[in-house]
Amino acid sequence: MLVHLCLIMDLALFSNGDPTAVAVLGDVRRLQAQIGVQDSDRALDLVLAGASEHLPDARQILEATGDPGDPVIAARDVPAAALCPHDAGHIVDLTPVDQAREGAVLWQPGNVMTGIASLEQVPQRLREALRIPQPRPMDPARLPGRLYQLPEGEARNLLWRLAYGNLSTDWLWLHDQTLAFVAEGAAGWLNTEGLTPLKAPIARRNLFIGPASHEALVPGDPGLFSSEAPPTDGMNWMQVRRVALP
Amino acid sequence: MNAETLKRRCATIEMGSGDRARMAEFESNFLGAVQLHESGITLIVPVHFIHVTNGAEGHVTEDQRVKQIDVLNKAYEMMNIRFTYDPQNVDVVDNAEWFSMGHHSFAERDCKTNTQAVDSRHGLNFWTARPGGGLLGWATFPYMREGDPKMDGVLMLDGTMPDGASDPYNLGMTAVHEVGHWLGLYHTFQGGCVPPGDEVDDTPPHMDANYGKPADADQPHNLCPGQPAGTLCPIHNYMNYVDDDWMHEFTAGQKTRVWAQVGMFRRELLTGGAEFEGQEMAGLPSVKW
Repeated sequence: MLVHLCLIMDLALFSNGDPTAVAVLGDVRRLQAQIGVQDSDRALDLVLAGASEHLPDARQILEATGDPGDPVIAARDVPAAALCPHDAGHIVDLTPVDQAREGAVLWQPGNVMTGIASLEQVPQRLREALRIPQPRPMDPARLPGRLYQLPEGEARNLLWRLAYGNLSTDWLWLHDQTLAFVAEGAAGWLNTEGLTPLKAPIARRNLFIGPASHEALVPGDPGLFSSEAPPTDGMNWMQVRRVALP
Repeated sequence: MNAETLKRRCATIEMGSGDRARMAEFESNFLGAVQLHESGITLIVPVHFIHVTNGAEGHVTEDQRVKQIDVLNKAYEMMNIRFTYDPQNVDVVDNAEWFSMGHHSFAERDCKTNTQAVDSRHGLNFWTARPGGGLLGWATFPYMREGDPKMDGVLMLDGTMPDGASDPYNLGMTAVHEVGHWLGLYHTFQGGCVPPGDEVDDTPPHMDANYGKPADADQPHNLCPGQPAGTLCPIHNYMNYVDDDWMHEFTAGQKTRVWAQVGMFRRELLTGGAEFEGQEMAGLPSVKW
């Protein structure tokens, strides 16, 4: 075995149902599966661990996505080795707090000096740590896909499933509506049955938030509209993605 | 340095039990014994194209292949690396499943195992297909070849070949980027701000990939904190993710690393170079991986 890595994902990452954490979880699961069947040189373990106060949010997510994880309640002073298989050569503690568990390397989203400028970077860093080559991707803003408005009531669970199923899934909350961008190629195997795209195909570079004067995919002020050329009075989706706008 | 000098510096460098985090240390030891990048040797890499198609889709023209080789040669000229191509070294394989193969998938392994055109010790297997999901191409690293020789090579989205359909990625730079990996280079943003980054001294660390055409006027972009004043983010480096027409440089440090990686893990390629044929093996330190 050349690289055996154990990733501890702190349950606090799932508090408030952050879809980015769900997307990372899904990607790590797929990587585990790939390694399991393809690769005798590498092993990847994933441990979900943290304080009990974060357990309900995590459980909801695991149930909605069908993730097989069984979260462990473990205080921060529990050494990393007690949570990971004993033969893991490298242990990473992915956590929002600024100190790693004893025996682990800290990956703190937002702390660039730990190598993780954002939670989205975790899959990339994980592959680097495992020395798995990474394909050159096209600019995410150019990636063609479909834009969905998720039905109220089901939006939360649907978004978790879409995020879990593909790391390139993107979202925006606009006027209490949940909008999801699903990359082409992913829509075929992600369960989007029953959903009608607002626009397809579309690339995020052509989606803008701006004044109500534009012909809108989602009306309101601001509204969401598509345009081939950047308008002078709009902000691109990539600038406002993954946030809630009033 | 010439071949005679290399012969006198024979040594063995133990690579331990596969702790790749120590790669930099081994490379440093190797460079202490041999500095191939200063030897004046030209590395000649024969390229064999394998085009995976799906009926009428995925075909690449002779003109595109010739242009791709030309793009590679221009980019790697500063490294003293030359790519050669014989029009006979082209295979076309029609297979719908392989055509859409994903990275690190069964289909990829199946395809490569059954279609490898040249012994990976002696040339570059250059596959084209249409993987989907916005992936432009991928490669294997030199140290992976010995344990998994059938997977060795680069795989490119067919539209990334010169004059291909994948604008703005159709100038052949994806191949330059992926061949960089195949020769041992990491992304310039490898590891973000955590040393050793890409294990190259003269590519400043930056937090993440750059896309599109980041403006020179907006430097230093996403450069890591603590860099000396005036340090620029490597937005034109082939090993970043910018648009094809924005990539145009390798650094001297990347050249050093490539030649060390070739010396350690792709030394059989050196037998392809007429300048060096028959003499090189005795001169290089042996590396056990």
